[in-house]
Amino acid sequence: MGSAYEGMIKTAAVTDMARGETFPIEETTKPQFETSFPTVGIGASAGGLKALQLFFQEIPPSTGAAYVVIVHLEPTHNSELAEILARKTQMPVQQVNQKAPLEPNKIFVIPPNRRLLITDHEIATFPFDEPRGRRSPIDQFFRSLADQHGDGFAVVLTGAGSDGALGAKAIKEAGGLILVQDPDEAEYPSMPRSAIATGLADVVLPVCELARQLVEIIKTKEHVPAGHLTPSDEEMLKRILSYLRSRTGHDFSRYKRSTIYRRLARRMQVRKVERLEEYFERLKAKPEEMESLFADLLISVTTFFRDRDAFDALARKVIPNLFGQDENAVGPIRVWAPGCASGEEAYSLAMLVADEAARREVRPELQIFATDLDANALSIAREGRYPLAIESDVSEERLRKYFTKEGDHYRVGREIRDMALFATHSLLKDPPFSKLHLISCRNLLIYLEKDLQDQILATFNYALKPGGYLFLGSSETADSPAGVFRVVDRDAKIYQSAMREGYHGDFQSIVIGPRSQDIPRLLTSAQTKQSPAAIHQRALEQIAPPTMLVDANFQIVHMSENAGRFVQPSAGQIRNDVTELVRPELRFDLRAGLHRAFERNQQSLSLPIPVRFNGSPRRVYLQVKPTASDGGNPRQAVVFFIEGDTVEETDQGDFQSTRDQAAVDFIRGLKEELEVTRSRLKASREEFEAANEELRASNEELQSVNEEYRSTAEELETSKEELQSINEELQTVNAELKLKLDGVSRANNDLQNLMAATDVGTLFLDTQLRIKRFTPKIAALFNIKEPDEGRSITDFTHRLDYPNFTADARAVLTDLKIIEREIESNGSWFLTRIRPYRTVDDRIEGVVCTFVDVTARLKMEADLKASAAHLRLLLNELSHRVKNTLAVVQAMARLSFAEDVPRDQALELFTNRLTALSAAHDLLVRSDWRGAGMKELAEKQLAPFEIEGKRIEMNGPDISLPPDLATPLALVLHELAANALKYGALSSKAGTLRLEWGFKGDGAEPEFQFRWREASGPTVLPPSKQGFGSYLIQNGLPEAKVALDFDPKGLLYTVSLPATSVRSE
Amino acid sequence: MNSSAEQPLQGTRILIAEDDAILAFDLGITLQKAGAKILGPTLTLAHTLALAQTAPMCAAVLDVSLRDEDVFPAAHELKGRGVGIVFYTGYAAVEQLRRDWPDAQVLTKPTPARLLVEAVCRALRPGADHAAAS
Repeated sequence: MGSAYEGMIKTAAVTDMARGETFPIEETTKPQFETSFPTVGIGASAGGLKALQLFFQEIPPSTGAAYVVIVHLEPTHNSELAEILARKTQMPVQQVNQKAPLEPNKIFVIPPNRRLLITDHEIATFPFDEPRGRRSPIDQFFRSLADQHGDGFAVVLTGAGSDGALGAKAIKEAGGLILVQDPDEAEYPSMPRSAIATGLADVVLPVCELARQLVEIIKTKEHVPAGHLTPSDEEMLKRILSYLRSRTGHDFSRYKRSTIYRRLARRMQVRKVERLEEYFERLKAKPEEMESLFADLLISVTTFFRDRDAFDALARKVIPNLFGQDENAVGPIRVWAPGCASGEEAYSLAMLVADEAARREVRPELQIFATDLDANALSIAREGRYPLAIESDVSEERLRKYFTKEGDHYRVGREIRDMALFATHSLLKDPPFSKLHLISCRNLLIYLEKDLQDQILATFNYALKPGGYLFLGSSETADSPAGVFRVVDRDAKIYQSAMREGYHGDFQSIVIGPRSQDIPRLLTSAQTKQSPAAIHQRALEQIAPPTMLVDANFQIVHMSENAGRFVQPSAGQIRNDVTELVRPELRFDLRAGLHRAFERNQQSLSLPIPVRFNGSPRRVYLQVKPTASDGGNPRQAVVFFIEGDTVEETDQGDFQSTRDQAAVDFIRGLKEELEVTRSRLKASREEFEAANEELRASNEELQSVNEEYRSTAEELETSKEELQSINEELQTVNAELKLKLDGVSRANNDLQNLMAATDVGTLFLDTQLRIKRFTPKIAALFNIKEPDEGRSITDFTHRLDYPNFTADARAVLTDLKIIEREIESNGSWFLTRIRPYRTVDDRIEGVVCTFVDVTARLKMEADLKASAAHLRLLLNELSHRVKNTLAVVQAMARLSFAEDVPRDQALELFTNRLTALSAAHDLLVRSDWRGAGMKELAEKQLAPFEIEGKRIEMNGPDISLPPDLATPLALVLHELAANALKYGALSSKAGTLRLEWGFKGDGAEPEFQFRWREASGPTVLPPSKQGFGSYLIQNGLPEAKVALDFDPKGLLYTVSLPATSVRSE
Repeated sequence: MNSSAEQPLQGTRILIAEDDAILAFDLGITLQKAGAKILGPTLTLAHTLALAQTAPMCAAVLDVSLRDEDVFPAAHELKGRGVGIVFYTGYAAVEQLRRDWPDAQVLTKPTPARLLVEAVCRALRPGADHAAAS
């Protein structure tokens, strides 16, 4: 006990937790600042407000405990929790904003967006390290409570998630109590359930009763002597432990007293028992209490990567070495984690190795033997299911790689689970594993006393391969048997076996438990010297009774020199069975004695048997002793033949007295019966053994069947997953098909409407020329109706002038060439086109016939042709007319310029004549060259000459002149007018002109007559010379009878024409 | 006026069949100037045919269409008599006319006076007897 220890006493004394003189005080875990009053940590979440109100209603104001309420609060809102709770309790309620000294009878409340931890004697707030959603303030507070105060109380109330479960474990390990709200009552049962699932809950009750129970436990705690044991208590403790050993087989007597007692005290609190004696009584009365105590004693709480720095050091300095230098020659890596509890440590190791294996890209065979005494903890470990709160211990990357999320739990992935082998194993009682690369035994030695620690370290040394590693908890060392382990990392508590290759130490010396007894050795070797022992031996050989050494099959192994006189084989085949070889009188008793020796391992001495050697009968005693050979199983026996006195004749006579003789016979009869029974028994036993063998074989078979079942189950699981993914795929495909179906139905609708709307008669036929589909227009050409689909088209008549229709359709099917024809039907023409029906994948599945009505088009084409010809005609006519006109113009020019007048006058004449001609043409064009009105013609020609009003009169019917007549008449009128202006009536102001026309005469030859009469002008003289003008006037009109009268009073010009030439039709 | 150079048709009788008075007059003047005596002009087929059958002449200038009637019957008459023919036409189908009447001269309207006289001269030549006849 050093100075550090003194300090501990001081602390203990201050906190009224001084340990008694009875036990040396050993430090267990971390230094604890124990307070004189208990601290209750209360965790709640969803639905917690109501539960907390109910809870504090039940707590009286002076329990002497401090209460810390941890809830999940919205980070950005102010919390009114303190005010709300204050209304339900008389205790002061304080929201801890920065720091607050821990005081009894007071409630401390967590502030928003901070976590609470206990440091020294204070409660302090800290910011969260984790992002929102991964925070677990309840766990964190419980852990700090466990670290700092040890035996606190953890109360887990309603809430979603699993916050609080891991923290509760820490508190339990430190000796605290776990109280959980009944999940059936809780509004959100998930948090209570998680806490219960740890298997560590001491009390599970509805919240009101929970509070009352808590108050009572706190009260009891004051009376339970904490850590203080009197000698009588010590005696009682020993009795309890020995009772426990007798019931569970586990010896806790060499566990540290303080630990044992603290856990015992907690059970007493839970049972509200104040004295050890009472508790012992209860323990004896209630087996379930013993189980609870046993479970509590075994509690070891661990977390994933507990002491992260130590695990980091392990990953850095040890794990790579396990893989060896040669990467290809990686043998199985064997790791042992004794005291693995619920498996976190074993899985942590597995993950470290898996990380390293992934880094090296190898797949080593890894065996992690994870053992513990506590079968419950092991079942949790095998399950590999941990609350969500492990997020704070396991990195996000590892969670993703090695865990799958199942609801509000994480499950260790199969890859990691397969590496760990969980088994019940007692480090103290059972033989260790061997040839290990690494042993990780953390926080187990601390519970054991020093000599036991040394023993276990020796066991570890034996179990490790030379150079294997040992990984201990933060307050454990492997220094004490010096030279056994070498330090690799002192802070991380990593050690290496200092053993050399090939040396395994003396395990015999370290095996725990009763040492094997020295087997008394038989004197087998004869002494060569005549020592007193040799003399003794020889004397024995000479004097000692004759003996035989017989084996289990009753065969004589050896017999002494003087045993020959007891041998007398029966007649017949000689067997080596001793019971057949000895004298008949001895046989029964010998057999009985041998049976006894071999079957019951007991020696026997027979009654005196009268044996008649040479005449006189002598008494012989048979003594059979099994030899104590190795293994204790007597495979041989020694038969002593002890010779007695001769049987006196008188005695003989006595013997032969009828009464005695009858008894002897009776006994002999019984013996024979017994013999028969024995042989039957032997037969039955053999049968039984055979049956047993069979059973064993069946068992083997069943086990293999079981194995198969298990692998089948796994396959089924895989199949199920596959089915699920297939199902998803099918759903996707289904959705796609649905879309396609929509598309198809839309296309079908479009097709229906197109079929109904189109004017193009369309007929779909299959390869057998059966009707597949047709448009309404087809019904007008073929005599088919809707129900005829499926029948052959050759069965129907049609109105087409197309006798080769079916032949053409067949030709298309064979040649795959489109056939186009123009077919007549009742005066209409159809462009008929037959083409092969090609599917999208280019197969021919029939023909498609289209009938387009081209009647209108054909007619239009004909019309167009006609009008083109007409146009040609018109153009020719036009050309002819133009040429004729040009010829006339040419003639006029020639004639005008040929006259004997000055050139400018000739030009004027010509121009005027051209104008007259043009005016006539104007009129004709206006009537499409059909004719010109007589009156208009005259007016037009006279218009340039009309001077001062109505000196010109016109009188005549409205008639139209044909072009042949109109043009020359216009020119004639022009010449007449020009002459009149120059010489005639129009040259003087008084002169008048009168134009008259009409039809004259009747009967066979009616005439058209036109008269030009001038009056009141200058005196008319016949012209002196005949010019072009005169010629024109007289000869210009074809078929006309012209009369020109140069009356001096005025010129009279008369033209008569056959009426037929004037009356244009 | 000197005779043979300016009046190549001196002493010939030429038939003119032309339904347009002005053109007929102009043709007559032109041929008269070249020294020809004019027969006609005729305006109708009937009149032309009548002259073609009987009237003595050296050559004929024929408008193809006379008041909507083809002049060809008269032309056949003239050809039969060995009278040289000059077709004077405004119609475009001149090539057809030349194929049908390889011996005839074909002129299109309008035509300069000189070409007309030359054509009539050529029409006169095959019938070498016209000079003798006149």
